[in-house]
Amino acid sequence: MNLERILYVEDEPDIQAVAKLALEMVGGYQVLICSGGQDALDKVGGFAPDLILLDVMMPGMDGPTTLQKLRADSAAGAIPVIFLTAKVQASEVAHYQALGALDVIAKPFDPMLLAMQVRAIWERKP
Amino acid sequence: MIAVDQSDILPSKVLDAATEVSIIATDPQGVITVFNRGAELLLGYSAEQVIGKHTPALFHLASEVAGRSLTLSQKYGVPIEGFRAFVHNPEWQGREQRQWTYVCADGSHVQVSLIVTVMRSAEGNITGYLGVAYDISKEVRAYKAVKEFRNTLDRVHDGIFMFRPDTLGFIYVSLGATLQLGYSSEELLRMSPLDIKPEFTEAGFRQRLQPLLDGDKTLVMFETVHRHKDAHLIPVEVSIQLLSEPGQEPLFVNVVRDITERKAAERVMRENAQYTQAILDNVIDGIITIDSHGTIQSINLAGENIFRYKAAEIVGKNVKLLMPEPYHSEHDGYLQNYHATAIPRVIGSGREVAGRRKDGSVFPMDLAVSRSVHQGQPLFIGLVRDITERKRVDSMKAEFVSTVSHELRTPLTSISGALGLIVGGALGELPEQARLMLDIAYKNSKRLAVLIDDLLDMEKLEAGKMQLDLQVQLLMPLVEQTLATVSTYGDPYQVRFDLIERADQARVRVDGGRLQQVLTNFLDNAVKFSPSGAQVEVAVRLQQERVQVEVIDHGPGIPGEFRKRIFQKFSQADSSDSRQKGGTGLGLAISKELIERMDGVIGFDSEEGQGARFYFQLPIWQTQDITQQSGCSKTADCR
Repeated sequence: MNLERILYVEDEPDIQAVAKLALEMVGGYQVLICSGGQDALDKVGGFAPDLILLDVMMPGMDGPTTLQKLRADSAAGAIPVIFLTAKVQASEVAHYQALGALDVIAKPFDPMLLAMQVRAIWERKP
Repeated sequence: MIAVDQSDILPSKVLDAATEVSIIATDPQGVITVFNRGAELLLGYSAEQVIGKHTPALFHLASEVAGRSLTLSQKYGVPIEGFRAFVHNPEWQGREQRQWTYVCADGSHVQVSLIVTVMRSAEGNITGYLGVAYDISKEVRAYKAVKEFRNTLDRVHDGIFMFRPDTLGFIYVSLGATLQLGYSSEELLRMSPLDIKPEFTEAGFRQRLQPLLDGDKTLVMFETVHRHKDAHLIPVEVSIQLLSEPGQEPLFVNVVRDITERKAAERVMRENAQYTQAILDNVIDGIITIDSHGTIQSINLAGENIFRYKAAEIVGKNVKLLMPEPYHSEHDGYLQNYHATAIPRVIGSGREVAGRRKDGSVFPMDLAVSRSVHQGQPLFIGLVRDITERKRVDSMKAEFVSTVSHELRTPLTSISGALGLIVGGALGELPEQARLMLDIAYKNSKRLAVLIDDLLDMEKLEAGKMQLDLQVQLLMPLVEQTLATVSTYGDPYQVRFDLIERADQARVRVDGGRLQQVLTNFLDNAVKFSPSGAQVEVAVRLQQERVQVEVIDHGPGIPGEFRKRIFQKFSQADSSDSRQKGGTGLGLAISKELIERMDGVIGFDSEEGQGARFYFQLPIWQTQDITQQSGCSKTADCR
């Protein structure tokens, strides 16, 4: 299965724009932006992404809660998730992985390398 | 002048009846003519033995006679010797009474009062001399005894007074008493204790004496003041006893000690104690002293405020009272250990422990304990500082730094990301000038990200919140990956990295990311301070049970005055460096903390002008170490 469609969940519009551009222009992926956890839960079924990129600190529903709700959803439960966050302490990373995240990419990210990092992690998935 | 006719005055019956009195008569030349029974009894000679003999040689001390002779000779300017010494004055005055020493037949001496009277005829011619003597030995001995006693009392520094119970009038005052009060003894003997004790009324003073008179006490002691003749007051300690001999008038004996110096010394001690207490009460830290059994001996004002106990409530109680669990239960064990080994466990400074206030609330405190000796017993001095507020501020600061850093990263992610896409060519080619400017903006946005990372790392390290993912792993791959990552760092300055020594088998227990962060910091610094075109060498060397990673540059070296603080926060050799070379001055401070958390040691060697060699050493982990590690969690204290 190829990585083509990425659902990116991020509340910050500027970062949404940069990441979307980086993933589309450098990686050639098709990206759908969701501005929060609930938005993602609402759209994941319709978009059917190959991968979800998830921010942690978001108003309303934060990233880990969103992941837990996705995992509970029979349709979206198996979609790989990578966190894209500034909160990357060892304990935090361990927590994300325990929730079932594939890995974590730290902010601020290198936009020219972001697509490559995403692919490298996606390819490691079981 | 009395004229005495020998035949008229000396009938033998009268003379012999006077057995208590020695009566000796002589002719004008001193030859004994009468020696009565009293003289026989006194001197031990019979009348027959001495009548017709010349006096005074027979029963007078030659030295005494010579002394009297000399005195009279000097007084009258004519030689007066021998028998004339006895009769010279009586001849002029009719009679003379003096004290003499009689030498008895058995050689013993008797003190007598001798009255010499001149006997004259009706015509006025001297017919002889009459000596009437009384034995006064007892009186003389008593007088001497009293004199010696007075001399003894006068040598006593304390003032000694004797006074009557009825009138309270002094009947004796010692030399010390006169010196104490400035009065003569004659003046004092006209006074009573009430004249020198301004604090007492007569009724009050008599009340003090009453227990002695009633036999309830044998001694009354008290402190008061005496008024000197010049009116100044003297602090004194008074001891009064009642002397009561059968058949004699009772007397109060009053010994008075001048305690001016003692009072002054006590005042100095009291003032010193007050001074010390004032200091202790004004220090911000609580100071608690306990003995070797944990019993609280003292607590200062700050200690009272910290624990909210009054000193009176806890002095004498066990210090466990101030400890919450588990310290409360463990403290007896500490003391038992101390008594068994004499090694106190908590001596030292800067232990953060929990304290318990009177209301049971628990608070964080810094505790420093030192050991001292007081009156031969070990004494422990605990210095306590309530750090509740500091912890709250630290927590607020940590929260603030974390929040600010996160808030800074969010826009930075956008800026850096947007610039990265443009500079990376994702949006197509740019005019040369625009690309140059955007390069600068992108480079500085990344620098800003590093600064934020450093600030966050430092805050985490200081707050003890930095969590390391320690894994036993080969060291060389980490070194090589770091070198690969930073390989382009030196390009702008034509500085090259050269790995000159390897230790391929060395395994270390580290957080790989954090180790690479330290090495990157070393390499980054080396590039910054290397001259253009220079080489930076990296060496990984085995050193017995440790492996050392070195980064060697050929820059200007570390200035001498900077070496001591190179690993301190915000340290840079001079203020211009941060602009010239970039950086926060946190990199080496963070590196030191990280390496030490990984059980390593960090250091450097440098000579000014000769470059610098920064290194860190880490323990090498062998296979058995790895086996042991498998049984524990991935935490920094797992070894």
